[in-house]
Amino acid sequence: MKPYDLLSTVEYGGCSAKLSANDLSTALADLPKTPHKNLLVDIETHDDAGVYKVSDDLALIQTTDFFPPVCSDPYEFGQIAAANALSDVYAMGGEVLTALNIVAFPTKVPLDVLKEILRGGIEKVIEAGGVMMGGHTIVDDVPKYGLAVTGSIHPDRIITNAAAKPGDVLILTKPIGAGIIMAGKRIGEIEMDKYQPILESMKQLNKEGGRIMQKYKVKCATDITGFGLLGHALKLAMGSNVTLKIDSKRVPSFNGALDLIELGCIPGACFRNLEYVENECTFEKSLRSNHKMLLLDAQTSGGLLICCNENDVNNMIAELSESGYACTSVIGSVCEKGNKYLLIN
Amino acid sequence: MKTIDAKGQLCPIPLIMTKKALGELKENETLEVLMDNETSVKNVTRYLEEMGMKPSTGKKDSIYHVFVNKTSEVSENVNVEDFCTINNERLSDYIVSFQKNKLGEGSEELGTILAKAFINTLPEVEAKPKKLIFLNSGIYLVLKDSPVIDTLKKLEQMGIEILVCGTCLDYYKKKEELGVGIVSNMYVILESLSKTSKVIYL
Repeated sequence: MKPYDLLSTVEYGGCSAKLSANDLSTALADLPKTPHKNLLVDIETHDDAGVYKVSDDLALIQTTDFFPPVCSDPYEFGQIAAANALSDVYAMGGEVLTALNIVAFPTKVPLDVLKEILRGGIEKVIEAGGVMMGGHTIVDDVPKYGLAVTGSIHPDRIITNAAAKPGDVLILTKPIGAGIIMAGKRIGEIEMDKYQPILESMKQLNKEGGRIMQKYKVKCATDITGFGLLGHALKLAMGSNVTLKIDSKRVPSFNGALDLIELGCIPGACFRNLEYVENECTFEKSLRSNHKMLLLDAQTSGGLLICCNENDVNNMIAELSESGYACTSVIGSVCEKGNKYLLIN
Repeated sequence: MKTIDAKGQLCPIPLIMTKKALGELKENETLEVLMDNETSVKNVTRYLEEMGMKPSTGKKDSIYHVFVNKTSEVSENVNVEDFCTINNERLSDYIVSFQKNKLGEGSEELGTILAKAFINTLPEVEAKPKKLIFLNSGIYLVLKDSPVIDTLKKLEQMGIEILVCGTCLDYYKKKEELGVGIVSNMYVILESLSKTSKVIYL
């Protein structure tokens, strides 16, 4: 039997799975809040997940993420969607406890495809050391998959968006440009040898990254997903009230991404993310527009953006590189809050 | 004028078609792009603006017409202002580090005059530094009431990076009065100094 191409279920050019950050802020504005003394982290600081304190030495991290297919192979899609959903727990410095499947699936697609998606997801939960507890499935024209995840952490060791300090050094653990390369794949403009690396990167858990952050007592980090490097950097800068300075030349990117931008292959998400950041961001004149678009590219299951104490930079980079994040790089620094939250050169 | 039809095409195809068509046009020729999807129109016009061009859009019978004049290649840079300021490639690979707010040893009054003259001359010299670093009492030169504040702002606009020592601003309690540049730290300053070919200390 010919393998089923999951991408055939998605409207071609499907670069708009995520609601724009501005629209989301508008929708969330003025909604009633549910403050509670045990709610340690919530949406207020634009964080990756919510954290609820159960006792003095235990807090729960809760998060969810799901989206339509990003690749052809159902098993790989399951792995990627699960790695992406689990990532928020790691970005907060926690460990995975349990997960629930969230599934939308069309009646016209063979059930084997669903089985493969779920197999990919469960394998990632096992790799994370978590327990799969079940889930919920609905019928929908376009398949969607993801997880609701619960993690655990000691309340004193939570890593948030809101604790960057001037003098910290910014480290990024995975290359960016995966969204551009996926768009290039859809229009047949990218070779397999440039496509496979992004699949591998998206499948890779941020588990080891989270462990290493805890080892070096990191207090502030986030993971890079749909709002792109700059969108997530902005959320972190706002949460911490600092200015992040990012040197675009030092940001690692996937081979082929800049060539695709040169062709004009720029996913719509780049423009959405540009709208989100531009008022709070100074782009140096020397920054080429191609590079600017790359920094705005939406990532799926992207790497960790870590605010690292300057004394630990070398050790952390060495350890991250040895733990499978081979492209880990210093990409900038945290400064006192200046005119704008981001300064990109 | 050349017309391309990107109707029925979803992102990023209209962008690719536009970029390709522009590449085939001569300078000052006009390109018309037809689209039927608002998001594509928004992205294509934004992209053209990023490339320094000035597209205009009309709508007729639910079809969008985007017109753009092809301008020269230098338009890779982001802002229209770029055309009237100096190109970054003309910055040289050296840094000037201001250790104090005066230039040289001797009369304080003369030192102040010389520091002012030094900075005011920078926009005129051909080989401009890529960065200026302000340390210790040097930070007085980048405060709002500094006599050279306008020149420094002009230099910053030209693409010269101005780094100001945050610890020094704190020490002199002048953080609120910063008029130009980025508050920086020793790590960034040291990285800058160690990675450049030449540093002039004043």
